[in-house]
Amino acid sequence: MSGTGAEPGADAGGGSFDWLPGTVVSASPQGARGRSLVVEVPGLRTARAGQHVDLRLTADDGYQATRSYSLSDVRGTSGSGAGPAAAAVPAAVPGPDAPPRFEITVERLDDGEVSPYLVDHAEPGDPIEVRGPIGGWFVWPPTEFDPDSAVHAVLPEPAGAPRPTESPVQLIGGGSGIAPLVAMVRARGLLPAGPEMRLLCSVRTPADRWFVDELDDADARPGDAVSVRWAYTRQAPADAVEPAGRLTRARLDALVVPAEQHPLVYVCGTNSFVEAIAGWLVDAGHDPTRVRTERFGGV
Amino acid sequence: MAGFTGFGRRREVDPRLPPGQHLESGFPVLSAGPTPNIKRWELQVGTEQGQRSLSWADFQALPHEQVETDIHCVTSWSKLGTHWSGVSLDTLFDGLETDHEFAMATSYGGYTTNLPLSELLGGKAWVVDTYEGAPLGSEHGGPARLFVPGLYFWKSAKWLQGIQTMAVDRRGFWESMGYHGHGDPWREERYA
Repeated sequence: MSGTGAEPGADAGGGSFDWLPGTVVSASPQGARGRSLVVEVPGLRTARAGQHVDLRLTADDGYQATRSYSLSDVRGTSGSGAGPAAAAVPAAVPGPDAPPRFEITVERLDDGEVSPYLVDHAEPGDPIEVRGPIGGWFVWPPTEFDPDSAVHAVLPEPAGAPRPTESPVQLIGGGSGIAPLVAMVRARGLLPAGPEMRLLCSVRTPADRWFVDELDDADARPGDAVSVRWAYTRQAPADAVEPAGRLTRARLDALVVPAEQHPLVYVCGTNSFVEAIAGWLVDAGHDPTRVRTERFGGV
Repeated sequence: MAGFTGFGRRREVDPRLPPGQHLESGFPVLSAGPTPNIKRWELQVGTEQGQRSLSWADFQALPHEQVETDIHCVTSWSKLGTHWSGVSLDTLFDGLETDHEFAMATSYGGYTTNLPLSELLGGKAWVVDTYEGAPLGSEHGGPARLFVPGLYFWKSAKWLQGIQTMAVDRRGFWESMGYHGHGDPWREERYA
């Protein structure tokens, strides 16, 4: 989705929302209960970091199930040859003439209907239908809405804040909520310059971290464009600066881009995680209209 | 190929499920931003003929109807047999004439959604303050949300602040980002 918010077609990607046939091309484990799947979809339009797709699975007897999953890598959906300069090209980034592909990263929910299949059973060559990509709010770089769009009218920019596209970015993920945020970190990595981006991810134990080597690399890259912090709720690694424990308001304040810098904040996780974090951010002076949330699970 | 067999739990086939929906036993929360702090609640209802402002006490004094129905979220979950209590929009708009065919619902926190007026009147929509016998929680849009169960649930604006009719359809918040202007789950009007 690119363009202005006043044009649904353009903003939604300029294409239809028909189901497209896709194929699983690779799968790799993430942490103890997760898995990244790269799906190739001829004709897929360019996706933006933070967007999701609907996936539809069909059993031999015609039974179908549909679910939405955040994209953890959108770089392979752009036909512009966008890709990391590094020698090791990730599986989610195709060659210049290959069909578009994206990555999703899924956590197994033991009582789930679809996630156990995606995490434990799906393998390269399996068919999977795709609708999307979808979403224009929880995306980075942010959509620049027309001044007369409903979004701009009701969510005016805070006084003294930089433009959304130029504002520092704070990403906060709880558990598998890191998936769309990693897509943003990866998109930031393609840019030669841009705002500071910080990722804070809360996990139970070191074994629950996803994308850990890649995020370590992004954190270590010179220039401080991207920084990554892990917070452990149950068990911290031996060399951790902080002991394990629930993220508190004070720790959050110390770790995130200060409110005075008007960061654009993206929070993704369970509802209870997002509700707590977003509430603390607003209490700490963050502009409510600059805190964008994506939640999963009920209350 | 492993193939998808739908194992793991019972298959979700129910005539009450619109196409592409699956059953949900919990109540997922989807909100674009923080839950707003509502310091003083007031509901504005308006047409080109007049405006009406209701305090919480005014709203509570209006007759409440009990509604049992299914709800359908565009993210593909449906929840069956939910129980709500609220004031019919027919009651809220009673005496406010209009030639308009569209309406914009506005929420505390700034979000908006547009709907055809025909989906709001005629016993199809309520402003609800009670869910399953308890006051509606803030995460689900309390103290009061719009409730239009015939459409995908994003049309049922949380933290409702006002409903204003309009002569020409304009797009609300999600509708400005590719979501459908109407949103009938039985016709799968998800995106536009």
